[in-house]
Parts: sequence; C-alpha cells; structure tokens
Amino acid sequence: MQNFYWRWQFKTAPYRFVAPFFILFVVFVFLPFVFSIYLSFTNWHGEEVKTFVGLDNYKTLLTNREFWQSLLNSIIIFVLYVPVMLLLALIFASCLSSSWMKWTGFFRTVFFIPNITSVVAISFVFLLIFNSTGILNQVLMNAGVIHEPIPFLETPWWARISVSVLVVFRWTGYNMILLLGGMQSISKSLYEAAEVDGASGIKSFWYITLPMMKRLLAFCTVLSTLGTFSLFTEPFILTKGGPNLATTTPVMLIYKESFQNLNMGYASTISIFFFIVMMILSLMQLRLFRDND
Amino acid sequence: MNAMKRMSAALLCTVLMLTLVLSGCSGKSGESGGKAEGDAAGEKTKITVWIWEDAKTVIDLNMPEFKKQYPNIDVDLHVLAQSDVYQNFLIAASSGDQVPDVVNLESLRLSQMIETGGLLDITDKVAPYKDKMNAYKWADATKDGKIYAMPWDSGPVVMFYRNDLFKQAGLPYKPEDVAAELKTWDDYMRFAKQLKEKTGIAMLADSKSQTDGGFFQQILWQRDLWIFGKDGSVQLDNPEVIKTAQYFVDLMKSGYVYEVKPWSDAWYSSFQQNKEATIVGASWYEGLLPTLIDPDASGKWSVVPMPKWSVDDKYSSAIDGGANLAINKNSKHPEEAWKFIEFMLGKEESQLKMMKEGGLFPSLETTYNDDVFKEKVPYFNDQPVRTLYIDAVKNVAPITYTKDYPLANELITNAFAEIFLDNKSVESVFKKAAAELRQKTGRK
Amino acid sequence: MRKQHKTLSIVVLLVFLLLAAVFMFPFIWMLSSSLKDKSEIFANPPIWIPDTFHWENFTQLFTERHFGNVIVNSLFTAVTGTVGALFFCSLAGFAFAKYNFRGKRLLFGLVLASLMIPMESSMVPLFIIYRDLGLIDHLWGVILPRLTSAFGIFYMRQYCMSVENELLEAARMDGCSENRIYFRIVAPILIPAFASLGIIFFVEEWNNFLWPSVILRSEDKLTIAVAIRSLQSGVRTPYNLIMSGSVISILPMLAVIFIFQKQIFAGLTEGTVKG
Repeated sequence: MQNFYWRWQFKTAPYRFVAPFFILFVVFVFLPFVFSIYLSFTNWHGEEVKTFVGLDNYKTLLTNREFWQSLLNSIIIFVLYVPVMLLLALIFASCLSSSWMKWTGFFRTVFFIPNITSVVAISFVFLLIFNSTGILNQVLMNAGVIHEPIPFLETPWWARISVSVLVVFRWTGYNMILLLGGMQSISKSLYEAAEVDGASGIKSFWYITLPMMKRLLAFCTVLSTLGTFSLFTEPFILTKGGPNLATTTPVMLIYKESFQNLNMGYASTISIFFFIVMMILSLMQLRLFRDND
Repeated sequence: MNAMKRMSAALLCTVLMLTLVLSGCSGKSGESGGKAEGDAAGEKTKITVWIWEDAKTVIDLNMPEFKKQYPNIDVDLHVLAQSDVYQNFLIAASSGDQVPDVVNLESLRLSQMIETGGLLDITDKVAPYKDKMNAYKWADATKDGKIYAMPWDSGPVVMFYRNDLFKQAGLPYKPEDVAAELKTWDDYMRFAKQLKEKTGIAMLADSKSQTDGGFFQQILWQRDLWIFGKDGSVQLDNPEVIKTAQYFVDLMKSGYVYEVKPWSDAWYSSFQQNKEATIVGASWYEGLLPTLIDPDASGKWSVVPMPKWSVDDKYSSAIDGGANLAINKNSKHPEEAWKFIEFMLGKEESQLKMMKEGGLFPSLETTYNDDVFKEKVPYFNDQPVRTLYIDAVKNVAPITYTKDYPLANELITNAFAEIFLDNKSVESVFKKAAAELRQKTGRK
Repeated sequence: MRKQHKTLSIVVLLVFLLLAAVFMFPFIWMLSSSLKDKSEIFANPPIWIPDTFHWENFTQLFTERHFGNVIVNSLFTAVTGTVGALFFCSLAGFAFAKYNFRGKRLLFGLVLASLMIPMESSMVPLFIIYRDLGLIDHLWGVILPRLTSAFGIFYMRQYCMSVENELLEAARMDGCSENRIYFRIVAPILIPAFASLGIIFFVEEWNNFLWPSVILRSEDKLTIAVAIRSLQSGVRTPYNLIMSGSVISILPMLAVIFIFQKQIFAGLTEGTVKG
C-alpha cells in the first residue's frame, strides 16, 4: 500500500504542482476569453437578452476612427517617451555604475521610488501640476518664461506629451535598474583592458557597454511596447482620454465602452482586436530574441 | 490512515483553491441571510438609497419629518460620485443585487438605465402624479408604455448675468431693461461685442477642446431641434443644427468666450476673477452661485429669460439636467422605497423645502402657486427670480434625452474639439459625427 | 588629467542632485497639497508651505471615507494575493524545473503563451462570471486572478534549477513524499526568491487599480487606489483630500523601498537578465 501510494504521489506530483496555475488560468483568463469571442458577435447592453448581430460590431470597429485612433495614440505616446526614457535610464545606469560616482545608493532609490508608488496617486499629483492654473504654469509665468498658461491637458499634442512625461517619470527608474543589472554583469576586466589600451570613459562606454547592452535595451523597448498599448490609469486620471480622443488607448476604449457606455458586445469586439495586436507584438518579441540568441 | 492523511495533503492545492472560491460565495449568502432575519422579526426596515452629494444635502432637509412619519423605515443615504452611481447600478442591476433599494438618476441617463432592465415598473404607483409633474419629465422615464422613475426636479434654462459688469460696459443692466433689449441670440452676440470692447471681459466661459456641449445643446432644445428627431433619426447634420453649432463657434472665434473647462477648479475661480459676465444655465445655478461658484458676489447677479433664436419661435426655453428617483427591480422593500420616494418628491411641503433651502426647482407643478416662488431672493438683488423658472418650464419643447444621449454628448464634445483645434468647418465635422452616431446606434 | 576628472564628477553629481530634486518634486507637492485648505490648492502665487496645517484632511478620510477599512482591505488583498501567488508559482516552477513528465514541454509552452492573453481583453466576460460566482464587491474577487503569474512561474523555475538533484534523490530514498520535499527542502532554499518576487507582487497588488475599480463598489470594501479615485466626486473635486489619501497610499511603499531595496533590485534584474 505504502509503496503503491508513493509511486502514485511521485507520478502525479508535477501535475498537481502545475494544476493551480492551469485551473486559475482557465477560469479567469481562458474561459472569459472564449466567452468574449462569443460576445463580440452580439449586441448587449446588460439586459437579459443578447441579440446576435453577426459581424456588425466588427464592421463598426473597422470603419470607425476610435479604434484606429487609439492604436495611433499608443504609437505616438510610445515614440514620444521611449527614446527619452531609455536614454535617461542609460545615462543614470552608467553613471551610477561607475566607480567615481558618489551616493549611488541614494540616487538609485530616488529614481526608483516613482515606480513603486501608486500610479493613481502620482497621476493625481500630475493633474495638479499640469493644470492650467497649476504650479508648473504659475512658476513659468511668474518667471516670465511664458505669458499665457500652457494648455498641458487641453490640446491633443500637449496632452500626449503630459501623459508621456508621467510615464517617463514612472518608468525611468525601473529601466535604470534593469540596465544597472546588465552593466554589473559585464566583466570588469574588459574595462581594465580598455584602459590599458588608452580608451577613455566615453570611448569604453561606446565600444564596450553599449554593444553588451543591446539585447537588454531591446528587451526594455519591447516591454515598453506592451506597456504602452495597455496604458490605462495614467490617461484615465490625467486626461480622461481626451481632448478629442487624443490620449485614448485601446484599454481605455474597452473600459469606456463596457463599463460606461454599457456597450458590452462592442467592447468585446475591441477586446478581441486588442488581443490580436498584443499577440502580434509578443510574437515579434519572441522572434527578436530568438534571432539574437 | 497514514495514507489517507497523505492523500489529503496531496490534494492540498485543489482543496485550498476550492475553499477560496467557496468562501467568496458563502460570504455573500451569509449577508443576505442576515437581512432576511431582520424582516422576519418585524423590526425596522432599512432601505438603501444611492445618491450623489448635493442631492443628499437637500434630502437631509426632509429627513426629520420623514422619520416622524415613518419611524419604522431606516434610510441609509449612501453617497457616490455621480458617474459611480450609474456604473455601480449597472453592476447591481445585472447581478440581481437587492441593494440599493432606491437610486438617484439624472434625466439624461435615465433611458439608458431603464434599457438595462434593472428598474422596477412603477406605472401604477406614479399614476396619481401623472398630471401633476412637468409633462416632459415622463418621456425619459417611460419605455413601452411603462414608467420606471419618479421625477424630482427640473432645470429650466434662464440667463444669469452680472449686472455690475453690464453697467460697466454701458449696457442695460436692470433685469427689465436687459430682458427688453436682449431677446435673441443676435442680441446676445451684440452685447458680447460691446462688453468685450468696453471692458475686455468675456460674455461666457466654455472650453474649445473640452466643452460639455451644454450651451449648444440648450439652444438646440429651445429650438425644438435636438440631436435626435421625433422619429428617432440622427439630426446632427440637419442644416439648422449646423447653424446653431456655427453660432457657438462664431462666439468662440470672436473672442467672446473665456476659455476654461466647465466645472474645473479654474472655472470656479474665473467667476471670482470677473472673467465672464453670463451663465446661460438651468435654475439649479441659483443654489450653486451663492455657495460654490461666486459666494462674494451677492447683489451682482441678476436673471432674465433665455435669449431666443428668433422672437417668433414657439418655445422660449430649454432644460438642463434634473433628476429622478427609481426603485431597484430586485429590492426586497419596494413598498418602503416607494414611501420614501413619494414623501420626498410627491409631497408639496418636501419639494418646497428643497426649493427654498436647496435651490432645486420642483417638477411638481402643484407647488408653483406657493408664495415661495414670488419671494425676493437677496443674492439676486431682491429679484423674484423663481417666477422666471415657472415661465421657462411652461415653455420648453417636449424633448427626450433617449438612451443614446451619453454617447451623442461625447461625440459632440469631440466634434467641437476638432472644429476648434484643427480649424475645420462645422458642416464637415458634424456630418462626420452624424455618420458615426448612426453607425454606432443603428439609427437612421 | 586627474583634476579634470574630479571637476567633471562634481558637475555630474550636481546635475544628479538637480534631477533627484525633480524626481522628488511631485511627492513634495503631494505632501504640501495634502495639508492645504481646498481654496489653497491652486492659489496664485503658489503656496509652498500652508500657514496652518490642515490635518483634518487626514482625519476626515478616516471618519467620513472609511479609510480605516480601506487600509485593512488593501493589506489583506496584497498579503493574501502575494502569499498565494508565491505558493502556486513556486510549486509550478519547481515542477517545471525538476520533474520530467509527459506533456511538460507543451504545458510550459502554454504558460508562456498565457502571457499573450492580456487580462484587459477578457474583462467583460470575466465580469459576468464574477456576477454568477457572487464575487462582485468581494476582496476575493481582486485576489483570485492574481494568484498565479506566468512571470512568477518563469522566475521560480529559474531559481529552482539551482536546487541540487542529489538532495531531492536522497530525500526520496528516505521515503519522503513529493509534498514533503517541496515544504522541507525546496521551500527553504527558495526563501530569497520568495522575498524578491514577493515584494514585487506586494507592490503590484497594493497599487492595483483597473480590475478592483471595476468590481469593488461599497465604500468600505475599496482598496486604497480605488478609494482615492472615488474621492473625485461631488460638484467640486476635493483635491486636498485626494492628496492626503495619496500620501497615505505611498507611505507603506516608501517603507518597503527603504527596508527591502536590495531584494527588489535583485528580483527585477534576475527576472529579466537571466530570463
């Protein structure tokens, strides 16, 4: 009996160990996902009956500007913030990993704090800062830099820039930590050899650090892509997706259609397309790293 | 035995997860069980009302009386942000929740909420009030001949203006003179021009990219045009609607509008900084002006009727806002809920108290003969402003918001943003918006 | 040459101090605004330090806005979610690292593929499932979907690779069951990994907003991020209250970063650099 039981529990152990993940995954992700494919063919506003409407929702989605606009917004915000953020993170990381820098622990913590503090809280402070009568406009006006308040949240481009600034503020520290980890894994002897050859700090950064970091930078970029398309809280609080949909992201669109306009069927259609976009991005990510390896 | 013990340990994760799921369920059934017991004991009945903050303030005025009359009904006034009331009620309705018993709904969201099927049919209960309320209020409360909500207040639109700023600009400033000379929207434009030239002050405040569409929609309503026609068709590309939008665009482009997002903090402070001279708005501004918007300006504000598109127009005013109370279909205490609603909204004394102390203009027409409407209001220079609301509410076009209003409203906000920011023609943008609205609502 | 180096490093240090000030400014402004009266928030010229500290902004949150409950709720969801997720992720990570079983490659592929279905794309139906399970307005509804994470499994698998096979075999020789092996041998080795990953989970859960804001409704059942957002109500938004709520929400996170920064940084870099 004992022996039989032991063999049984040994054989089943791995399956039992991975089971929770799959049960939770099926219940909370997979089944809902399949269900949302069904819902995407219906017109449903929360009432008891769901009307089957075939491909109507898909037609609406593809011919309407909203969805395309939300994808375009994500791309624009991505282009606005990713280069700035990665450049800053790279500068921070390389300075903080050099031997001559003081108080590295302090700076590392300070730059990282925005990333672990509540995005809701930070978005609200930025709402106060970027307000047309907010502190930033007041300081700039009192200093005579500008005469009219800058419409940080009131015109499409400024609104996108403001959201991007918020994202840079939140995520530079995170990327800095990733890059720092990468830099510390570069062997010290490489730099020592370079110094012997007379290569200065900037040169060794250019010829040693950067090439070694290429893969990690690519990784950070891909992570940011996925993050940008599912951006929600920042624009939700800062700009409510406006003005004129300029900062509406796909996830905001899903939220708005499902829980504000009660357009559950249409919202599911957006969800499906959102999934497809994310899948393409993830596949590109896998491809990228397979090629690099 | 030992094997059994091990067996159970082996199934640890599954069991753990089951308990997790089960504890989620049992928590819920436990709650409802507790409530049922309270009923059986025949004790006090508790009803929950979902309400937003300023509405609670006026309900509180009547609570002492209500408690006296119904000592056995406990009322829990649960305050939520206005947008959260809708979102939460949708969730409650679709999950068959028994809470809340009563929900506070704006007219402009009412049809949309009825559509979800979560409200109780109260056609029989409201029957005695059918002829006593403003007729237009019933339209949005009705679906397929059944009534789902009891009207609370109405928001007839008038024009509030700063008499001191008008005087400073050399314009007529006494209410009777202004009413005589500012009759049409053309006159309004003329006043705006003189005000701007003489004092540099704007006529009104609104935003280019984030307008709430209120000003434009009020004129539409007044002209009996609206976003949707009587047959349900989309009217945004109707030439007259486009002309109305053009009027707002002209006003803005001539520099007569102080640019600020309505209801933002900057908007509130712009009044104290004398940035604008008029509010074309509903009667409920009477309650907001002396408290939140411009508390230090007592005596400086006056009221005249809303200007008209053309003096011969059939209707002279519009409606902005106004609320209703409705009962949750799954409420365990619909009778008590109705008693609460009837006491607050159907009883003249209650409505009058909310008018007098809270500035909410009742939909209940039988109150209009009361002396409170003829009273002089100190904040408005002792002008008896409330008679103007009665005249206004009797002259509004019978228009319904419909369930697609929230969507249409958003499209209008975006349309104006496009017109102003990208400098596009009103006609092209409104035609595009009309097409989008047709496609998303399946209307003609 | 050396002197030049020194001045350069001082310049860099000054620039970094300036940048640090910029990064800290929103928090300083948050704290300052949290102690202001409603009317002082947008005052011109700006008020840096309010004349009187309006501590009632904080007390009001507790007396009128159920912040006592809110903090308990947030702690409960964050702790339970974290412990549960660590348990389930380490179990699966252990299985994928140390067992050979049929379908292993397929199942691990599925774990990776699951990263491709973002939670946001199944919000609508999940909401309906929640309604049927009675999970709406329940803290468990926030916790359950976060009890596993493909990233966590991946991370734990990497870590479990370092567990020596001989150790496991020896235990099996003694007749140890697999469960015992996990609890007695593997779990203790994983403690550093639990710490790193656990803090990341805890922070994520504490700041979680979208899904809780969809399913939590009653004022006394909210978690802190949702509770702060729900203050944005009424005719005029009470930004001073929102700021004091925000200050409350970031305090535990500041404590976390000062106590556990080593684990956090290690967790982040290990999860990505090795992966």
